[in-house]
Amino acid sequence: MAPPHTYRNQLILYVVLLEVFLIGVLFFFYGQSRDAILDAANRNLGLFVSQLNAKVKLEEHELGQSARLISNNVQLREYMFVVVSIGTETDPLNELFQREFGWLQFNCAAIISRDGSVLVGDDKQLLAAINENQITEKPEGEVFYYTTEDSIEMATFMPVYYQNEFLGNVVLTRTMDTRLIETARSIDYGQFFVVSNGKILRSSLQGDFAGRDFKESDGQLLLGQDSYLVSKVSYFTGKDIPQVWFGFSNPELTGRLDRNRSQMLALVLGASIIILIIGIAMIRNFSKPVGRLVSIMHQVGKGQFPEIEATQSRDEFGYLINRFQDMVTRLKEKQDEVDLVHSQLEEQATTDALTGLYNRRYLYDLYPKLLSDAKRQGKNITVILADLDKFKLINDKYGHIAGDYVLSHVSGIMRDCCRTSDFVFRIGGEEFLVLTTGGLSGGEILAEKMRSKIESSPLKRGDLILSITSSFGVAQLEPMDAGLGDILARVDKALYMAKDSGRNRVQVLDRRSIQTNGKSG
Amino acid sequence: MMRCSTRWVQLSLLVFFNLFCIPVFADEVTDNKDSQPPIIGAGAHFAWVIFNDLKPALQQSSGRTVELFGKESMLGMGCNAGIKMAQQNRPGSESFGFVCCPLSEEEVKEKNIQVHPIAKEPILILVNKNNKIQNLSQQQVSKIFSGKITNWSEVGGDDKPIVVVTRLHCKHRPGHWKTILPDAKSFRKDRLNVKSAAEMVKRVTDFPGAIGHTGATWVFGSGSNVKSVNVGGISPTADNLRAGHYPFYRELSAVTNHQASADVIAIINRVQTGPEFSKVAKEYELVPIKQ
Repeated sequence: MAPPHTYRNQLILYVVLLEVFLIGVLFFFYGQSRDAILDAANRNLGLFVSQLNAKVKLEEHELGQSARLISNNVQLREYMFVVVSIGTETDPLNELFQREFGWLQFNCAAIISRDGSVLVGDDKQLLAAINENQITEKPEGEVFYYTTEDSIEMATFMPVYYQNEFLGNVVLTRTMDTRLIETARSIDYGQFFVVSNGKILRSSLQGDFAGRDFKESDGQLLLGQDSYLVSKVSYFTGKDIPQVWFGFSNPELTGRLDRNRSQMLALVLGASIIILIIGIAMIRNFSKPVGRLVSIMHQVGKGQFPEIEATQSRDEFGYLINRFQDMVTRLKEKQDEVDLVHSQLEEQATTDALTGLYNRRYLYDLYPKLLSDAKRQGKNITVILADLDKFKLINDKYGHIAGDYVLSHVSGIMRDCCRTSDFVFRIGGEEFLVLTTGGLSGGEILAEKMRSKIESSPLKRGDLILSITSSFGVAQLEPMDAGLGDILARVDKALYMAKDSGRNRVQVLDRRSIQTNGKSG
Repeated sequence: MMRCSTRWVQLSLLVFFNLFCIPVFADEVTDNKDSQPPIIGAGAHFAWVIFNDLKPALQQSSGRTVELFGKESMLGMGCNAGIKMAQQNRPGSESFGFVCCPLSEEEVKEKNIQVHPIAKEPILILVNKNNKIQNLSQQQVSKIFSGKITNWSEVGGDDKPIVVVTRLHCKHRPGHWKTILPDAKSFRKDRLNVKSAAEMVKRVTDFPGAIGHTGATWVFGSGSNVKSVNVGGISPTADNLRAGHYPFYRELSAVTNHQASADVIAIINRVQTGPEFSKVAKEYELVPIKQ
């Protein structure tokens, strides 16, 4: 089974999901911020207009205070009394007014006697407005507005009394709209429009917009290519008084939104790059060592013991890899030990310790495989059974150690005579068996070869020289043989016949006939 | 507790005099190294003028430091302040006052003070310098101030309404403006009533048709545009006053309590009778009473 790669894939998935989430969140908040900016703009507009109205009201109050200051001035009252009640010229009153009250903040001023005549002041538009408004009939301190050619004027008046006698009124004015327009231009915050009969009289916009239509609808104004959020400044009221509107231009808002969007895109790009870098770093720093560890474990699982190069990294993965290296090394050593033991055991389980030939046990394990290989190859199995002649006498005469030497010597000769495809077994004390696929004649030839070699190769050990002979039985697997036992029985019979015939010979036996072959011993 | 508060008031006054007088109000730095405390004089401005002009001579003759308040100080604001200053006189804290109005006997008795008359001072009838009127009869003056004459044209002037400006101070004291009309009610109702001589001069300056009154010791500054008129052909001089020809006048006096020290009396006497006063009297057309 191939090692998994799910962790890296998961990491990649997480990074992608994080990117998608980040982009989604930023776009969502961009949309929210756009709405928020527009909502805030509307709120700010309302708030600004409220503040403006409050400021106008404050100015009304201040103007009234200034008028009161003048009307309460003792000297002015006396002078006005002299002028109004006694009927002298107005010059002293004028001079006094200029001298004492010129510092007050007003645009125009007038002092009107109780009979309506003008004592101080020469502004025709103010005087006309006074006449029109009939200020003598209004309560003290009431404010009224009037228009001049190029401004809206706020006016207030205050009655003057001298010794409880009403003498007349002090009237002060302040210019309102042009100041607002100049302020808006100087601080570049919003725009003012002075509108009369649906036409713009003047505005704080750069350029000449006088005479253009002012078409406001639901707080929105379209002026050429630009649109504005507008709200009316409600304080300038009165017959024929132009309306004053205040607004924010949408280009100003969209400009902010564009900047907002650019910032957002830059943020998205920057954050994405950072996340990608972090993700790649994570994948490299996590996935690589993890993958390496997984690969190592996979190989170990497959019984392999890969060479693991130690790492100099001092992090957890470095520690793991180095520990893995130690573990695999030890596993390999243990495995080698096990293999060695296993092989030894296997060897012990399949070979004869003295001769190194296969043992009887292995014969029964190997025979079915040889049989199936032979059948696949269209060959037949021939069994050669060999027995050393008078081996017991050798043991008795020369000892068992000499007998072991004889067995080793003979097994060596037999192995040398056989092909690598032949299998030589020691199945008894001095009994040997050879499995070959050379056919019955081939088996016979092989048996004779071995017999001859054994006979011609005496054991020489120190001073000991021992001649050895052996008898061989040869049989091949017949179709009617049920199993190995049948052929063993037959080859055993052949051997027995060889022994009976004088030993040191080869006896071939098949089911059809019994043949005697070989020389007497 | 009462003793403590009195002492606190005295201490405050002493500190105030010493701090306030020397850098701001002292006209001269006296070289008098006398260890005694200065003699304080305060009261009506018009009388202050005399004492102030004579101050060097008074200090020299008395050997005492004299500090005077009457021009712009909080202490010298008219006759009442002078009377009060006189009443506060005591050993170790000598003071006297000056008044520009005559005091009635009842008032003198009631306030337990002594009046030391200094001089008679003509009361000038002021008009705007641009007014071509140079002379008015006493009757005309009375009628103008009472409102019976309301236009200058009625007395030979331009066709301009008359603006009457009055300063009816010390209403319960005899003399002074009462030499023009006997009481406040007699004066024209629609008039300007001012609180100081400075305001008087200002009003008459500002209104070409104005008429007012003030004492001859008033120092007219460069900003004023007023002149005095003759009354019945008589100019407001000391000689005419002495001869009884000029009808409008008042008395300038010094006032003390009955514990005035010899130095204080000497100073006052010096003013009344000293040779230096003659020059001052001449300058201001005053008629010394005691000389």
